[in-house]
Amino acid sequence: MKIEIFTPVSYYGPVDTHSWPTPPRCYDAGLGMDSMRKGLEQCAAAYDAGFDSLNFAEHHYSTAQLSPDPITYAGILGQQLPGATISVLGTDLPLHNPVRVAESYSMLDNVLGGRLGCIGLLRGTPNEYLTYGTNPWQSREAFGEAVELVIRAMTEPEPFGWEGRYFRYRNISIWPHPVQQPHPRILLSGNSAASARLAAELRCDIGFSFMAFERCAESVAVYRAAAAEAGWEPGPDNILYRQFVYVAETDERAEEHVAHYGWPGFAGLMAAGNPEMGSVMATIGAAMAGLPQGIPVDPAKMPLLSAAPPIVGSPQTVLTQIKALRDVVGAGRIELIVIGGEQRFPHEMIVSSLKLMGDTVVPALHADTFVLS
Amino acid sequence: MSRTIAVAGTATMFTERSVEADGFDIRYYQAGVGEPLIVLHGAGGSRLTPALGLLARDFRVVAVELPGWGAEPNDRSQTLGDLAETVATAADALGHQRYHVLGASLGGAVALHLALLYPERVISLVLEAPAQFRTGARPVSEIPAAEIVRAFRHHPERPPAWQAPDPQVQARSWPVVDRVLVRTPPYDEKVAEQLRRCHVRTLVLFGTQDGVIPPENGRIYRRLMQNCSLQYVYDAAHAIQEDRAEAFADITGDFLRRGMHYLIPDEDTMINP
Repeated sequence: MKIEIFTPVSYYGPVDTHSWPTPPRCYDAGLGMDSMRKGLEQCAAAYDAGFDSLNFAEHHYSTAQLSPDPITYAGILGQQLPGATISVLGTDLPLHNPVRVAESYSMLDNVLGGRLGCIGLLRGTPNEYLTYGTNPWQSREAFGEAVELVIRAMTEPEPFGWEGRYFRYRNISIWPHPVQQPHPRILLSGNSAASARLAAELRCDIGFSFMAFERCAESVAVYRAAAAEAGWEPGPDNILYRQFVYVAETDERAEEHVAHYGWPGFAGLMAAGNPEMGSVMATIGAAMAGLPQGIPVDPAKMPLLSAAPPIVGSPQTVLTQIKALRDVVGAGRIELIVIGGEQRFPHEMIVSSLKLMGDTVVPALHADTFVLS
Repeated sequence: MSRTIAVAGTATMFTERSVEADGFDIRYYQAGVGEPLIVLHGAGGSRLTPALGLLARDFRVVAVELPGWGAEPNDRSQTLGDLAETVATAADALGHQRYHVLGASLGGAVALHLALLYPERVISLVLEAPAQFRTGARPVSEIPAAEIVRAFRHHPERPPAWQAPDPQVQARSWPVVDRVLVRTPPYDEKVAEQLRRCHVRTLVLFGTQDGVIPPENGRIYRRLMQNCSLQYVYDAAHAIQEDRAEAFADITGDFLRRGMHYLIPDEDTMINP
């Protein structure tokens, strides 16, 4: 089984508000640059611990992640760690020009010498639709088209154009082309049946974020069935699960640290400053889920979020829970978030936990054993 | 004696007429005013689609019925070039010295040969899923019945409704298709060589869901021809006009009006002054 780390590159500095968007007046460039250094050091610690992929993701306007352009970090890290596999999970595709996304990842794949592990093409969190002003009601349809266009742009050998419903580009001919052929691995969300089907039709990996294992298993079944219709069979390596994970020497110590720091505490990205902004976020979330424009959001009718609890404990406790993940979901890749939200854990604690994992959890997972000797 | 035919979803009325050309009685359907646009159908026969109705707002659309698809069989035409000669003769007979040409599938292959034979007469060439190059294509006769509709139409619910070809027309036309196209190689080296020297302004359209001719065949035209633009029409199968009428009319009309300047977006992007 593979183990990956997602490093948000959090801002280690004080702010006087925890609602989104965070005012730029709170940003201290010295602390910001130091935060970026720490984020990259956390990646290096994970690499030394034997993690299979070092991952970044795109988020905007928040202390939780200094990462509006994760591809920049991926390129830098790739130069610092010439042996590392680096992934971006992922790009908030509805916010962007799909041709530009294809160009950026192709360039990254070349800069990394083919070590770009996986490209995540995602629909983003509700707040992201306010970043550049993106229509959430059309996002599902536009997203499906955008994914096809990214793949087409990376694989077409001749100049071409695209006459879509949401995108029109009459002259596409990207240079450089990706190193990996036909293109680097692409991952789409498996959090809904529709997205799982799309991933299968396009022969992409699927990823789950924080979702209850049983719900994930339902989506995996849809994914496998759709893949069979499309003429291929996904394996465990095509399925990734992302979760907050913290490992300490003992269960007691792990629980003590979590309680002390209020970990993971990841509300910042969608924390509304007032009830009306809360309504805005709920409207966007409902639109992304398929509620037509103009229909008022009824909180009583919103589907319950079925989230799994973070994975916390000693190395053995964590391994046991990861085994359950593998057995129920069929995932062959687990992606950890260690830091929590808004710099919950001090940098040194994260590095220490990663080192402990490198001595225990990582070798066990690589050997496909879930019991420490 | 002419009759008029309405096109579903548009205010366009096509008038049916005929002209003597090359020893055939050629039926054609005409609507609109402006520069002539000769339209050549696929193996399934003439289709007066909403997309053609939209194009008739700016062009004189002349949808020609190829010999063998009407009431009489066609034992004379042996090659795509023969059919192209007949179309050129018909255009002459109608008084059109220079014209745009739009061909779909088999009609696209005929249109291509027309441009190769008479490049000075063709203002612009639009090829909708052209059948000249068919690498990786299954013969239509081998597509399972359960898949045939989806191969042609990703959205059969859109007008015009999917219709299988008339069996009597097909009995007359299929021998022509077999002679001029099916028996030719999927990649004809001689035609490829001719295309390298073709300067006719050409737009090639393929639907991303084309289940009859793999859309990647569009790359061949782009690679070989001197002045060619390849566009993939998202979410359309083989019959692009039917699956995405507005998009087809939009891009085709823009190309016919502006040529390669259609690459320059000219829509107003100012939100407010």
